[in-house]
Amino acid sequence: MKLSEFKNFWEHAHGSPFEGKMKKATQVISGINESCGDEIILYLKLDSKKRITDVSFTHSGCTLSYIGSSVLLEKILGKQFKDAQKLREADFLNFFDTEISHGRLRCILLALESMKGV
Amino acid sequence: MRKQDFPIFKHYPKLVYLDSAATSQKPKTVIDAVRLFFELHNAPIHRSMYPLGDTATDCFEMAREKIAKFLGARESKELVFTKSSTEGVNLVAYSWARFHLCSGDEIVITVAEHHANMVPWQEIAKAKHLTLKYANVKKDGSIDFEHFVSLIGKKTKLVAFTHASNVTGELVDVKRIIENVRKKNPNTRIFIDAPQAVGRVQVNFKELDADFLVCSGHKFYGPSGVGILLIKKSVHCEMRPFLTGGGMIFSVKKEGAKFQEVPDLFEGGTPAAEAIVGLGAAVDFIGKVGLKKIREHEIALVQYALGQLKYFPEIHVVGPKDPQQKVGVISFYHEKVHAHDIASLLGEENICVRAGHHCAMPLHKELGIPATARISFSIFNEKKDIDKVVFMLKKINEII
Repeated sequence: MKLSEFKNFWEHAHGSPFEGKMKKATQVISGINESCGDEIILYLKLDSKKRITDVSFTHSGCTLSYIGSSVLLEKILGKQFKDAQKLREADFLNFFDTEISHGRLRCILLALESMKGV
Repeated sequence: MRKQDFPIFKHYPKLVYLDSAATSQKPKTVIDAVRLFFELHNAPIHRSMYPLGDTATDCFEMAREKIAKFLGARESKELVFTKSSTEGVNLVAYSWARFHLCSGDEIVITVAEHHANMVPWQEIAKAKHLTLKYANVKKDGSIDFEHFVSLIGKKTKLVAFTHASNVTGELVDVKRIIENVRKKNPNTRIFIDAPQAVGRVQVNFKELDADFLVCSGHKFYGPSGVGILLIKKSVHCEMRPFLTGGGMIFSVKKEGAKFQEVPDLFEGGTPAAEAIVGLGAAVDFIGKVGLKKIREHEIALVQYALGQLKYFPEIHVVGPKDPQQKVGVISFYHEKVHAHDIASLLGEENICVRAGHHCAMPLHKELGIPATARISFSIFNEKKDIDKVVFMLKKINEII
């Protein structure tokens, strides 16, 4: 991660429209990276047809796990939950305009893997 | 200083390597020793009936003698080659503790231990219904000596603790702890986990009067794949086999087997002879530079780094702040930026540092932080390496 990329991530990380708890969530998904202490909680609101109508998250940890959560929610909003869970790792990583080093994959994939694990 | 001895810097002149606590870079003499063993002496050791095999065995045993002397063993037979220090801990848990400890016996370790010197004792404690006690750490993460000693009692059969922490860098007063443990219970076996101490400070097994000591060859300039386990001669008779098979056998019948004595007892299978010979060359390298000089160099770097980090109020160093009480290991955390982000950003500038919990999750939990960034020094590091870290930390602070 270059300084310029970090700058973009940091700015994003401090202005995500999805950050915060959701009282009326129908699906609450927790994720934790034991190795570094990153913790996220994804809040999803599903309608009667299991479509995702609202999203939010809370986060504690590194910038990449924050960005991974925020971008995931942006991409799955409006989709069927089952379809969202089918999002492939490689496709998800394509959303980011940078190469993520092997050692940081667990950070950026934390939200995706937590959602797919439900 | 001494960068010319390490070929990696010829290939990567801009490399700033500050991760020697994880693994050291290798001097040319070590690389050459491994290559020359393959080119000139390679043959199976301890089992050949031809001159080349004898030469290979001689190289191997000469390396054992040299390393044993370097570590202050009473004789070279106190030294067992394993594949890692982790294996050494597991070996003692399996081949000694499993046979000598029983329900209600106590093992004392510290919260500061890395997983390799914690989980094997947790597992054996579970299997044998032992009590595992943890000595506390102080607010800065250094071991609470008084609490440690207070845990020693009649039931204490083993204490296992670090010589130097891979997180806080604390250089533990091992001698003082051992003397106090022996005073309170002379029958307690003492295990020293010394991967971060060997090659940085003088470690003398005989003078310490420990029963077991482990260290990792790749952390003191040697090749990977070689761990050292020292077992006090008088404890050899208490040891049972670990990995059974070729090389550690005296005789085998259908009814069972008789085994060799230590160290052969624990060196079943064909060892990494070239790596062990390489480690012998690493010991020569340390001897040539001098441990006194290595220590002085590390203290100077630690002092300089701690002084520079003080200019960052949002950065907090864990562990002792007195360079004399530390080896060349400094872990820190930033109030706003996660350690992984710091390590990634430094990495883009060819600055290699470690980030995470450094295989010491309970210690990080005790300190109340999820992760730290760690810089660790070696003989080739210079003050300007620290300046490059400081420059990047300033750049990061400009962004946030």
